[in-house]
Amino acid sequence: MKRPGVFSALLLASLVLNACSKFLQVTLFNNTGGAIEIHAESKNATIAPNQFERFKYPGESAKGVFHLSSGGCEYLYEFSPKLDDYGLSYEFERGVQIQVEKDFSIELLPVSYKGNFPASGEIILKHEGFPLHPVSQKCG
Amino acid sequence: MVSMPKTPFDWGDDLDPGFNADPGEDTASIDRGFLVPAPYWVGDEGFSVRTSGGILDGLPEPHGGSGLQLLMSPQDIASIDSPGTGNADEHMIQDSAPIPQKAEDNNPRTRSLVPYDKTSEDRRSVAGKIWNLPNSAIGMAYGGLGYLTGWPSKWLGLQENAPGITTGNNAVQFTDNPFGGVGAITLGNVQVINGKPTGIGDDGNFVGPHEEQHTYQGEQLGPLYLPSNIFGGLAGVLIDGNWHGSHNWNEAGPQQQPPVPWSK
Repeated sequence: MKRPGVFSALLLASLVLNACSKFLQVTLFNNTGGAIEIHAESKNATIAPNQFERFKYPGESAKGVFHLSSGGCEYLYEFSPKLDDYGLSYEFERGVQIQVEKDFSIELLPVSYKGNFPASGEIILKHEGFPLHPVSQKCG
Repeated sequence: MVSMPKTPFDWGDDLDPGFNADPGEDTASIDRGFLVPAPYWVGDEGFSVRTSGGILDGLPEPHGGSGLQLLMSPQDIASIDSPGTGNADEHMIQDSAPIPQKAEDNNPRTRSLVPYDKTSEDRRSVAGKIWNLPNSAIGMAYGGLGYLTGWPSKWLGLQENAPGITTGNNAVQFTDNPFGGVGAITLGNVQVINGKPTGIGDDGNFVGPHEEQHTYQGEQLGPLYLPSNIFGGLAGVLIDGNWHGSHNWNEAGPQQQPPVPWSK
């Protein structure tokens, strides 16, 4: 009697550890030259210069809204791009890769970009809706 | 802190005309873009999502509109009310609330000319849910535990939203449930989601419809569903180096766009 129970528990544990689906991630590279803070529905974090951070795609109750802050200013974005042709797949765990620039515009990087640092100009994708600019900015 | 503003767009902006655009098409199809979640929010805590149906999908649907529908077939009604078009669905749209039906059944481009045997499909679906019951029982226990865990988690500020229970996508859905892990898991006709069904998965599909395909798999495989997932996952790991790889036959179909139970 014990073995089937253990077997079932193992089956379930394996399945749970590899959940059927994962939520889409956004990977944000910081190319502003200074530290920035990200405030998304699921995450508040500081990103050092030339580093990146992941957060859950804010497409549910946050309606695509997230904001960044740096140097006493807060920048608010509405991130609702149409990315049918972006090539999202389970293979790319970083999900949608974006990069915030010095002027706080946001560029789109290829889904397959594997670098750990902000990408240079030729890698940045030209895509409808990008560069994405903040919809509002508050300073002071 | 900047308070979250009301965004200038509304959920559902990117829906195609859907309703009433095609006579008889009462399910809005969804563009594959990222603007699309079209939930019917009823506040933050409780919500309902217009999906292809809930756990009661397999049961006969209630009649809406005129009492004539209890006595006459839609075709007969149409021949009386709309002799010009003979379109029963059109009558139903004009005279009653939309009755949820599967999109493929309503699409005039794909609708079969062979009379649709709904009773037979209902029976198959009910039988599938019974066959899937062992998995559903595990899912209910698992989701229930997660639900009970979710409340303290919310009170302690470890999660933003309160856990919820709803139905949709052919399942009982435990939402904002910490036992959903990094996404969601389907056990029988039960989905345990660490978020909302309208969240977007890493395959670009909405989580609800993706998980819905697993419920159909469970209805077909019954007690073999869990072993199938384990072996499929192992095949994915061994061949593709990823549990969700294309050789995991349980994930290949749901990852397609639009998602289907099994990859062809």
